[in-house]
Amino acid sequence: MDPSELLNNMLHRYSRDLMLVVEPATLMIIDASNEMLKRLRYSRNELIGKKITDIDHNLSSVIFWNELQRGNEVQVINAESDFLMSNGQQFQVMKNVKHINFLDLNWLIVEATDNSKIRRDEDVLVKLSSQLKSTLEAAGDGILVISTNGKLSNMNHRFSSMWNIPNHILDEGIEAINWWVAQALTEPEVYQRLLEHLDENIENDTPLKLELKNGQIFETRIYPQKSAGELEGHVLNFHDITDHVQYEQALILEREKAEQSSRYKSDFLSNMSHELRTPLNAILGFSQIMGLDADLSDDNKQYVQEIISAGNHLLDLINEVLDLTKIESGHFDLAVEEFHVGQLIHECLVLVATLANDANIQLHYQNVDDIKIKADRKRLKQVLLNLLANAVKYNLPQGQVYVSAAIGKDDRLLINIKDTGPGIAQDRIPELFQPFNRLDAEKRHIEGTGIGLTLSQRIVSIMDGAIEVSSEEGKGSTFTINLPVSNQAAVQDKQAANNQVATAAAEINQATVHIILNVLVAEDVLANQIVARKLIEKFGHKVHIADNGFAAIEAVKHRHYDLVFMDMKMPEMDGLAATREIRELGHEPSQLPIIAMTANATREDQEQCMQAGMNDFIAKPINIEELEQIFQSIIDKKILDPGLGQKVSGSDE
Amino acid sequence: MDDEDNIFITVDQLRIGIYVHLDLGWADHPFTFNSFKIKNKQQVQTIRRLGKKTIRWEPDRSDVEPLSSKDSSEVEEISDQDELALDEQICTELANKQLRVQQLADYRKKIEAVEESFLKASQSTQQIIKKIIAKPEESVAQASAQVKEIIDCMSGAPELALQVISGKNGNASIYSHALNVSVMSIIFAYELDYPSEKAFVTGLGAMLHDIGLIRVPDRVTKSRGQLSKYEIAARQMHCQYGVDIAKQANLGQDLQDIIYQHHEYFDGSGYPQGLQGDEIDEIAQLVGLVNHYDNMCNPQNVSSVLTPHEALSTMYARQSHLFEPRLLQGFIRFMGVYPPGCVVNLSNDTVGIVIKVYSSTPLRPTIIVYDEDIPKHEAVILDLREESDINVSKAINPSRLPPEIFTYLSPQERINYYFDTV
Repeated sequence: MDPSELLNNMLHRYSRDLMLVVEPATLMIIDASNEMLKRLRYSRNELIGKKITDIDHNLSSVIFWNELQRGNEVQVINAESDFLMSNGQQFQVMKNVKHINFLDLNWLIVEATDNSKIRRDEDVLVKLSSQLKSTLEAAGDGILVISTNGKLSNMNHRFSSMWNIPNHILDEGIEAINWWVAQALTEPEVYQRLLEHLDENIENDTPLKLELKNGQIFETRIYPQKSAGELEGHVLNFHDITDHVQYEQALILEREKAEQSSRYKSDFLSNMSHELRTPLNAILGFSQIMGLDADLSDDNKQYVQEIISAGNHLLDLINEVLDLTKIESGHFDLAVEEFHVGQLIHECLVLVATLANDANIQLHYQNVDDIKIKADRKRLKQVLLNLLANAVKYNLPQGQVYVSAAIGKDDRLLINIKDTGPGIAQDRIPELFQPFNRLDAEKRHIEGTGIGLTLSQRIVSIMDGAIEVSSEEGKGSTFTINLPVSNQAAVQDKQAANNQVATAAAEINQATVHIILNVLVAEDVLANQIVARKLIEKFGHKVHIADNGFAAIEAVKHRHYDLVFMDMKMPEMDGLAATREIRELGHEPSQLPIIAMTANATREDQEQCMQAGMNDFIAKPINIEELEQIFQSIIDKKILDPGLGQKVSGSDE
Repeated sequence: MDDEDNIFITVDQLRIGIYVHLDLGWADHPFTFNSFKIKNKQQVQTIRRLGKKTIRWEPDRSDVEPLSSKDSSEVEEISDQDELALDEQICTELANKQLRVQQLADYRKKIEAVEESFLKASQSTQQIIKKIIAKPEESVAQASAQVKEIIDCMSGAPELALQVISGKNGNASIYSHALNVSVMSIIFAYELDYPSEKAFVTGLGAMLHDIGLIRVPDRVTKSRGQLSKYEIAARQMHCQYGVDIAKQANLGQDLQDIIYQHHEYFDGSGYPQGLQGDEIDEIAQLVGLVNHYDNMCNPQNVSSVLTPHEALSTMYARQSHLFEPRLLQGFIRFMGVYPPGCVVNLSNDTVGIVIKVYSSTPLRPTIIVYDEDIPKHEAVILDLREESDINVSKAINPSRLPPEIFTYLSPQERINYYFDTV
């Protein structure tokens, strides 16, 4: 067979392949398969006679053909190249060049596969992977991607730098990397467990905290990587939260410090006021006793009155500071009870009546419907007294004070206290509630502690209310206490039955019957014993003193008493224990009232007193008016209740 | 790992087209690779003689399924005599392999020695360039000494090889454009049979070609973004500044020409004078070409970086008008189509990085080959001059390498070159 015929047949047989035949010595194309002609857009006649480097023309091919011509290269397998078409366009191929020696023929066969599409796909892949790489590197977190079969799929530089992974570990692969990461942790098991659980199809929403031996703290999250629903691997994201955690810890520390120093302050103030009250007790007590002495000269009476007034001022100040401290330290508790607002206002008006009289101020109270609310009666009274006293003190001579109470919008209790004083400039109203800011009060020689309004405002706000002020210069001011009643069960009681009872008692009081009471005072401090004895004797009652709890019990066992004053803190046995013992002996509260005396009546103390079986408590230093009220109420009860009155005139001595 | 039974087959099941992992030390078998696709019957027989009962295979990379266990009888037994001959051959090959292990170790040492010389040269070059303004004459004297040293090393060597500096030493901070261009220019000069004196001028001119840049504001020279019209003009002033400095340092006219003309192009499109063809000094043409190549591989703006192969292909395919044709051809020949630093696919489906190229065999560089079964520091170094049945298929962009291969081969962001004498 003619060799060229053979060649022709061969090319036809492989006509579906892209083939060229080249003569090695000249690099001339001597034949081509039909498919190749079609792809290159050449006719056979045009192509034959061209140099192979005109078609196969990329850099490495050109060099290859040159080297081949020099005898340095013989063949090439799977090499990439570009083929130039007749229209100047080119396409990518994968080519093989083989030498064939057949009969007397020495040819080179160039076999090619069109690579354009693969190449295009690869280009897309290159773009995507470079995008992924940039995204990974741009991320601020360390990222590690592990495939399901435990191989390293990807990671970024941040990952290796944040874990300080040395190059030789990185080179060794994923196992070494994981080992490195685990050993850097204070608890390597945490990371090992994490890796073990990667097999499961987990998505870890809550980040895991990893603590490093060097003190750093990383947070890791795990995201599954899926392809067509199949789990392919996991992305581990590491976020450095060291700074964040340190900042947080510093904040917590700062807060604790602040809280502690606030506690220290409160404790200090509370102890201080307690310590101040004890000596004040003696000062006030003795001066009150002295004041009752009819033999005093007018001058001396005046001095004693000044001492009492200054002492009371100091006492108010101490009490108010203490209350403020309690509010600030969160120890201020409310004792909620149901009561008539009208009655409370009435009580307060009575208490400020003297002050008003002295200043020549008229008090007016209009009570349409009596209102019952649930609130801390004692605290509300404190606030009301403060506002009323202010209305009197800061009024003009011959001024008026109008008090009214009503239920307003949203079931809120509104108590208005309106004066006809000089008024307050609008821009100075906010200053009113600042401690020790008395708005020119000094200039006008008005007495006051300077924290009354501050305290009142705080108390009311704890009660979920507010004190509002409206004022017009030259016409007067109105202070409004605004308290919620909806959750404090405001009830309107039109019959005001209690009022009538109170009135009845007051009327009887007018026709005074002198009744002598047997009073036991349990008190360990000698000065206080003397004060108590003298004060009580001034009212004409009989006094026995017990030095401690035991002595008090013994006394009660052997004698009849109408009333016991019990100091809370005593050696041997304190007031609470003694009271419990007395109650256990069968002395009912209605028959034998026990009244606690305490310098520092906290809410806990009061509750303890009540639980122990006490009837009431009075604050030390003992106030002569308060004492009188207590005696009066016991006498009233004795008169109203014949059962209790059997020993009214009783006097054992 | 998946079901392990599927991964291991008995040696009787082996046939042509199966991709196997030998899982032996590289010195313990006669093959070039630890994992490969079986090509012929002799390889099957050789693997069977290695003493392993089972072999790990990789279905994804194999052309065929293994023989089923009962089919294994179909494999013809070989005669005792053939068996003996085969054993003998394996023994010889294993002995050769031991030799190659030793050679590899020597080779590695040699590579390291070149890298050490490079580090020294790079550091001193950076020092020299820094003080060119303060002490021009001293600086030039030191540069001359540096070039002289390189030339002394090279002269007398039968062949020169260009070597890329590996990841360990080739980080960006050590990159010295002056040294890179100088080294390439000197080797190129030798390839063009320049006499020693002319090669020296070439090397010194190349080292000093950009000294004028020191007078251009950093804002312009260090900018990584697009330069404005004015910034470009400012940058182009470095040729004139360079000549000014050269005059101060009493450099000869030949060196001044290199410095002034290294941005001229053959077609007249260059600057500052727009010289054409032979109007440009011969050495300035050479240095200009090398400078052009290095700027493509190591641009200020990293995002426009080209791989060495891409840079060379671009110059060949699209920028041939910028250079004298024989000069470009010579450059490509000596850089070797796949210049050092290129990541390439080989015809046997393996991936590697070109580390060294010899100008006499441009298509047959020396390559570090990725093999997952061999640790990186023991990686096989393949001299393609010795492996006639393997050729480079194509250059690949390092960004598309899987991370484990990327780490293994660690292609560099900055391509630093140095030379080796053979």
